[in-house]
Amino acid sequence: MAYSKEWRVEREDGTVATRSNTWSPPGSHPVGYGVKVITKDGELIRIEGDDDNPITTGRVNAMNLALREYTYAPSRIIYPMKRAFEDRGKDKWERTTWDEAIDTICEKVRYFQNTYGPESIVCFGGTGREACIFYYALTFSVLQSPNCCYTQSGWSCYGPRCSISDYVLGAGYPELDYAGHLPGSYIDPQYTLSKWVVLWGKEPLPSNGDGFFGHCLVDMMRLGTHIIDIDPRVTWVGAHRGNILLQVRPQTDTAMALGIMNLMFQNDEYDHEFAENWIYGLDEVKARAAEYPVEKVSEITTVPVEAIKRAAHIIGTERPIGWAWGLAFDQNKNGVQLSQAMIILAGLSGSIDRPGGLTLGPPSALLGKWRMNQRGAMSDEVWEKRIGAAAWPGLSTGMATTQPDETLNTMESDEPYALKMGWFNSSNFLTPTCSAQPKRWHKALQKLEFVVIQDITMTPTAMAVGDYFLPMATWAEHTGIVLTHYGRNTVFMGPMNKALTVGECMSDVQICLVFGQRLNPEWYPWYKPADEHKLDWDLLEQATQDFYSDQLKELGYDWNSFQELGIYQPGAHGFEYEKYDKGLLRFDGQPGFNTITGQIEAYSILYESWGEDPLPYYEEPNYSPFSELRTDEEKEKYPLITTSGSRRYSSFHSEHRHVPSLRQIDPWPWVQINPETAAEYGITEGDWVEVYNMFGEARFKAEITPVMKPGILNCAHGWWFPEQDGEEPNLFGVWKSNFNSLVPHMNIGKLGFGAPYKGVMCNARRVRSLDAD
Amino acid sequence: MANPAIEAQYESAIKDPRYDGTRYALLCDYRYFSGNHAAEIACKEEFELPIDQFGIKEVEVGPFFKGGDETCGENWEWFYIPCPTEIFSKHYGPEGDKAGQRPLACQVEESGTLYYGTLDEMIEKMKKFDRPMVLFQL
Repeated sequence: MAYSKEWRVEREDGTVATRSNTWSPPGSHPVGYGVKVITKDGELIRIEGDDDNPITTGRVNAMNLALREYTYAPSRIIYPMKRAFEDRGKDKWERTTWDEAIDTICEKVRYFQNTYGPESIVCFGGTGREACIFYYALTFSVLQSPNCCYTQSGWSCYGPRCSISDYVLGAGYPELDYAGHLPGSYIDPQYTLSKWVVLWGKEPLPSNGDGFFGHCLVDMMRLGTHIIDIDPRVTWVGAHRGNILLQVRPQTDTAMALGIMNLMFQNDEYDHEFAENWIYGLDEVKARAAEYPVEKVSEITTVPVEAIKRAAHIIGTERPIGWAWGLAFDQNKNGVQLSQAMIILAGLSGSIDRPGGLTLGPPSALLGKWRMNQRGAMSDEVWEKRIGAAAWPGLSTGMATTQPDETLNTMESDEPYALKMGWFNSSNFLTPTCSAQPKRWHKALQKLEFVVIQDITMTPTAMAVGDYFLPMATWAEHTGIVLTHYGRNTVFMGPMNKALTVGECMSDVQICLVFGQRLNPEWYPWYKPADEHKLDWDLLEQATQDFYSDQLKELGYDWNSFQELGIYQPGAHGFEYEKYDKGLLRFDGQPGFNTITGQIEAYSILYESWGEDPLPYYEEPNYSPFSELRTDEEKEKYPLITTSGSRRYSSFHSEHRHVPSLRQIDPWPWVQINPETAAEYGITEGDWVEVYNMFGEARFKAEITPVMKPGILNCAHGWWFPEQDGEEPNLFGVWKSNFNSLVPHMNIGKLGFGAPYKGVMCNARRVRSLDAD
Repeated sequence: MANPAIEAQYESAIKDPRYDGTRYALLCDYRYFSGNHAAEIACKEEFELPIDQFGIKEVEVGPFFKGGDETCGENWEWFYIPCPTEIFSKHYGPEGDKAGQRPLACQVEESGTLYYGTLDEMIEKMKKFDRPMVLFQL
């Protein structure tokens, strides 16, 4: 249905309906559920769906429907707060004004920049949120530091997939074609429904990773698509008639990829024309794949030979094949090879940039391009001080951030220099989200002399180390733009229309505009108050809209016309498939992919230049009961394997634990255990279980389920207990169910990517409760 | 087997006059209903319910393995049913204050498998599907 220009309507009952598209905060990926925010006298009444949105068609997830609870939660912080340095860890926060906070923080930034150099400031960003656009800008052009840090060991979330796409495929993130970019959706004449989708290490229904509307898989199944589900678990999507379940042992996916590839070559079942024209190193990769006969792959992955053969035959012969690749590609030391192999498989199955296969976008566009351009605010001399950049070119070429593990090393050792100030932009990484060995981080963070937190509620991380707390506006409380993949493959773009105001909350872009105006006005011309020591909210809102108008210019819109448009889908503005054949992917306008060779590099020139094997290979995880690196004693002590990181409908990583209706859905951290393993360990449904290994321990309630294979556990992540004592040392119980305590620091791949969050050896024992043995 | 005489007594004991007019129903294509909890939260919001009350509550069946090849999806049983409570029927059932309108739950439910309408409409709708469906008379 077409959008009306009226994005705000007053209803007969006196309520106001503001059309919008969701992002964050509170936490969410940029899936942009089309919604109507219903308010009355400025108060949020409820969230409704927007039937006109061509992708979500009125549907809204549980977390966004619970926004009213989140908005008015007693524990939400809606005014700037400060706390004396000596009171860190204590609940001694006091309210302050924005004017005071801005003045003091700017003074501190100047002090650290001038005394220790701008590189002494580090900015931490969380995952998936709108902050992912703005924490780069905050670091590079506001604070003018090169040290923008996503703390997860091996950058194990999305960044690796994007970098490998850049290096091997020469394009932005390849996304399953679910017709999201086409105004006619599944019945658009340009679209062909995927006959099969390979859903690999991804459960997108609850997660909506990077803006991919996960429930499109249900739509597609109802239209006739089948799924090949590669996952250590049986998933609900996989457990449907006609679907195939390949339950791999955690972290052995690369062996599976090479095994499937080998069968496709052996049986001569692949897209010859595409492979011969567009894959570089075809003979070499054929020879490499031949080292992975199906029997060997079956033994490594524990998947039956016949099932692998069936999947390979389908991928080789049915068309079109769609691909949805997930977090399991990143949270794996061998993940760089897995991503490379998946891209080759997608090429061999004729899926690249074709209807019902994978769509491609440029490596960075629109806001994503603006984000990357902020690097220019620093001199080369400062940029070269980026932590870990020189040692890890395979990471620092694709990512503009520090190498995460090296950042912890630097904080612990003060080498090559000490970090003095920290700024947390919506990151709560002491909880088991995006760090390994969080207790080491906790200790290292204490060394920072000054810390600013941007967040929405008090978190364990903020309580532990924050000095200033800047309150954030929800997506319903601010002006913004949501776009999938942060500009790396813009399936759609939509406006977030401000519908209400709560307290004195500010958005991520407004933080950049306000602090940028003070600290680097040349790069931040939008907000110009008469008195820079007095915050002008009306002017700031206008500046925000002006900022977005400038970003939208290249599409021919300004903020107001974009609001009226409702949604921007490339399919209505000249989107084309097979861009590689039409000279639409390379910056030089020539046909081909934007790689060194102009082809998809099955043999990667860049990998080779960085000392990595140019071809994909399988490597047994270092901390596995099957690894030759482990002693017999270790294997006996830790005979189980645990995966983690899977999502549920009730939370976004560490968020939403304080929202009653969502906490009711999943009240406690859980571990999924196969019935056979549970019986062996004397564990019954609902028992508290401690999962432990040589690195740490964490407690969960047992969920006994056949979706896990014997010997394989699946632990919840993101848990803390907002209802518990927030002060040190308890910190809202953040250490009790902290899965990331079990994940080693710096057990990463040769390029600096990939840590084993989704597969470490462990053991389990029944305990009496969360606290008592 | 039920005693037909007593069964007839059950039927004659039914006297709620609200059911003399148009009846309403909730239909779910439950093979594809994903158990996403959106309908639960939507009812809590729409009816302004306290935390312990539900307009719709999901129940889960399975997952369990039915034998055969473990790698075939059809050999697993795993589904959810969104069960309307009497709170839901009070609003959307016969003579309910919202009878005939679209429930927020049916709009937002993420798998798009929840339908509401008159009983006759829902029976007609159900007949168009080639698979097990669940129909709740409200």
